[in-house]
Amino acid sequence: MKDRHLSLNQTQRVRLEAALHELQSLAPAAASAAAVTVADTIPVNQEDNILKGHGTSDQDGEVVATLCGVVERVNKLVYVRTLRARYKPEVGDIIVGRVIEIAPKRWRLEINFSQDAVLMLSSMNLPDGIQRRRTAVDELNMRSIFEENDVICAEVRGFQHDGSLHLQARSEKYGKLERGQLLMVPPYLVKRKKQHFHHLEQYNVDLILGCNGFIWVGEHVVVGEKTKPTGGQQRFSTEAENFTPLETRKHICRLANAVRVLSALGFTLTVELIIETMEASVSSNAEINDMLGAEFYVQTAEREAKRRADLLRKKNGAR
Amino acid sequence: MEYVNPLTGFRVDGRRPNEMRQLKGEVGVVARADGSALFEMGNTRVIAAVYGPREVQNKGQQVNSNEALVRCEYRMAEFSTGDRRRKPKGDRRSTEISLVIRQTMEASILTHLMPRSQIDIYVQVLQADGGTRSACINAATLALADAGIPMRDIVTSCSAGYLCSTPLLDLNYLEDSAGGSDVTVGILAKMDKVTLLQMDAKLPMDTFENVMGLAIEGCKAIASYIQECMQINDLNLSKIAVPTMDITQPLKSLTCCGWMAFVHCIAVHRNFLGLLERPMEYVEGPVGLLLSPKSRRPQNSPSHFVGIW
Amino acid sequence: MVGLSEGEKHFIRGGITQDLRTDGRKRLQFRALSVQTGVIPQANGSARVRLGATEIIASVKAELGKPSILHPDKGKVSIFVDCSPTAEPMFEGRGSEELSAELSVSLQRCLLGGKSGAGAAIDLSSLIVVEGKVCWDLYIDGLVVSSDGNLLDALAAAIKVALSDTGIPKVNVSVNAASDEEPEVDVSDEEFLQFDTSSVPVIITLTKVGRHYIVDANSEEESQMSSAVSVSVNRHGQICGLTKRGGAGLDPSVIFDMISVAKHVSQQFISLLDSEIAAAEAEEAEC
Repeated sequence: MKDRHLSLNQTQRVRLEAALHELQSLAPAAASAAAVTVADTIPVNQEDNILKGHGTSDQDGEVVATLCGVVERVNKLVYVRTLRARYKPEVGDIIVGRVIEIAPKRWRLEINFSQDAVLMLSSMNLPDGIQRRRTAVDELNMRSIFEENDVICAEVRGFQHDGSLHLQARSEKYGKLERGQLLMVPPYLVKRKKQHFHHLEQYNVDLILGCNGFIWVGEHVVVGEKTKPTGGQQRFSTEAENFTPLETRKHICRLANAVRVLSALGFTLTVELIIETMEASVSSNAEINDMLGAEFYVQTAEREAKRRADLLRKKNGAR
Repeated sequence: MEYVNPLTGFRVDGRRPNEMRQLKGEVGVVARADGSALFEMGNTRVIAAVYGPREVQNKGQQVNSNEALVRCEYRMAEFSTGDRRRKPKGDRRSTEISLVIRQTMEASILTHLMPRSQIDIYVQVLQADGGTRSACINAATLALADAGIPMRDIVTSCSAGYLCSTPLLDLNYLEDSAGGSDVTVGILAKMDKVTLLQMDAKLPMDTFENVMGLAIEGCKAIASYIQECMQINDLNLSKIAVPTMDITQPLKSLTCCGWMAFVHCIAVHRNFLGLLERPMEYVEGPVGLLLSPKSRRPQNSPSHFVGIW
Repeated sequence: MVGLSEGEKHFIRGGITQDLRTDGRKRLQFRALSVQTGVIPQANGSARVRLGATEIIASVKAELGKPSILHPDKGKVSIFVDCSPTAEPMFEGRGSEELSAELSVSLQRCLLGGKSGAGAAIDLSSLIVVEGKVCWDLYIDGLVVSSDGNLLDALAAAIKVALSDTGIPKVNVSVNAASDEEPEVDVSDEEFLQFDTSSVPVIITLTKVGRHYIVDANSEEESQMSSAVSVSVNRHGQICGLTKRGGAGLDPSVIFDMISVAKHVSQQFISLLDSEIAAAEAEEAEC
């Protein structure tokens, strides 16, 4: 919906509006009741000791929203959940970030947060796998582990007193990501689930849904090979012929385009939905590039509307 | 030149003296920015893009590390005015307007919630037909709301003038250059406080009060329009993003994890079963599930619960 | 313009070698093009062109002026490009000056021909009103609203569309003016002369990555380029201008090959652009 650089012809526009309208009517009715914009007063029961959470502020004894979003109430806590904002980190989140700077004993990563995140050298496994104290030599060799502009997968360890984020990448499944592409979507489209690493065997592709909205789609790498030290430039020039095979590359591009279409439509990203969209494109024999076109866009919206309608019917039927 | 027709009371473009131009606001026009908006007041068209909060790029500019740094730049396109301007940026008027917009928005943004970060507001004027300052402030408000930056209140701005012995609301370029006075007012809509007040030429005191009152009325009208824009946009997004919950999913994971884990879940989370019957996203009423960020979630439990941070 | 890691660069290079770019395009395929005319009502002609995520607004303004002494029978055209900070935070302040200057000069070279005005794509003698005294000054402005690579091609396309939308007002010169006085001109508000844009060229930028060339690079692919050649070709297949960018040296045979590829691609692009212009004008006529 935001990327309006698609030119739809008349029939496509009509179909898209019908699908979007259906999606909006299927949403639970509680949504509209709780939606709030900046400076709206949130109705609260004055007798309770209401805890004012994020997105609210106290003005003249009234609870006023400072963000546009939906009011959520959990017990005594009232807060406003906004959609289009920067990433809001939680301890234990799996995120994908890009190294901006190498500082003494740490790497600074950009993760779509209001500040850069910090990955300490001590929170990172050494290449030889031995658990030992980091020496000055290790500090000088930081570039051999991660360089500037590298894409890294890590986990949120905690917050510092000044609000900045600390990450850790001690497990085998975290580390540098190569041989793929990084996509950026609004963070609210990625919900926190049990699993963020998805290995799609049938395509030989790794799909990592970072909670901060960075999504990695790449060739499958066997866990354990990730943190090997690289020889930098020379490794790639000698492997010049060692490009990703065409079949895997086609799958990667299709998945990436599926993610792009779904995020443009504003649908929550789940692995099932991404795979479903991708398979629909294969079955309809759409060219990979046509997935970013108007026709596929409208078709995806219609498909999702139908799926939600069916789900709702099943739920109501089950009751 | 007759700016107000004495017989009919209409202005040059057919409006009444207390009538504002056509407003149009659109959110999300620049895909790359965190928040963006297009705002039109008659023929004046302005795009605002907000990048932030993000890491401070130039540590020298950061004065107070407990607050976010707000920066603003105002630019006019070369084709925006009737006669082509050369050097549309860096000239004194642009610098002054950048400063004015920054101060106005800073008054409303809750900067203490985002320490050690910076918020950049870029305003680009596509078409200028009087009231560019006000259009820029209105566009910046929409863009900041789109970016999810917490604000004290909605900031809106409108201009008013005094020509042919009549207070006129929302001057266009012709009326602005007529030589009469031009009062630009910016207010915090709900709190009813003035954050911006500029005037040129001279006015007797009681006339000034009338003109300023008219401008404030205009601001309030714009505020209600902006709220509508925000509501529509936000509602659409939230309805489309949130799927009706896949109820089968938590049950599947329940059977997958061991029986011990199931017991563990029941013991740890109250109202667990009660939660399953409701769509997860809109949890209202006394559902007791307060998770502090420090407690690690048990590995096997479905993390659909509303996490509090 | 964020940097890319070695792994991502390797992936992009591999894609280009295998003729499957990151968004599924082939090497010589353009992104989705969308065109709108008449976006700036105050200007004589305007257009807004979107090529993928790159968005450009171009406007043409005509003002009466005096022709230069060296060329009393030709009007004047000047092209300026501005990059708005809404597209990239780094375009703030003076950050975009270098890029804007480079784009302006490249466009001038491609569209306006040499210093004598020879070979210009726009017929400058059609802009003259009274020889030696009064002529039209055309100011063409391009504004980059959103940037995702391939700015030069998008700007050239936007200028072509804006020129096709331009209407120069008809001028009636008063007949009884003395030869050394300033003649009186009456600019009509009603009648307009449409500009002839059949000879306005488009620019095709070929970016060389590894051993292959790609057309319409997005900003990630542009960061990978070793060199890029921008060729300006008009409808008749004639080359109107050539610019090479990038540090790597190119073999002359490679350049000839790139020129022929550009000519081939440009014919398709010109026909696509023409059909989009026709559609946009039809839509505008309906409104």
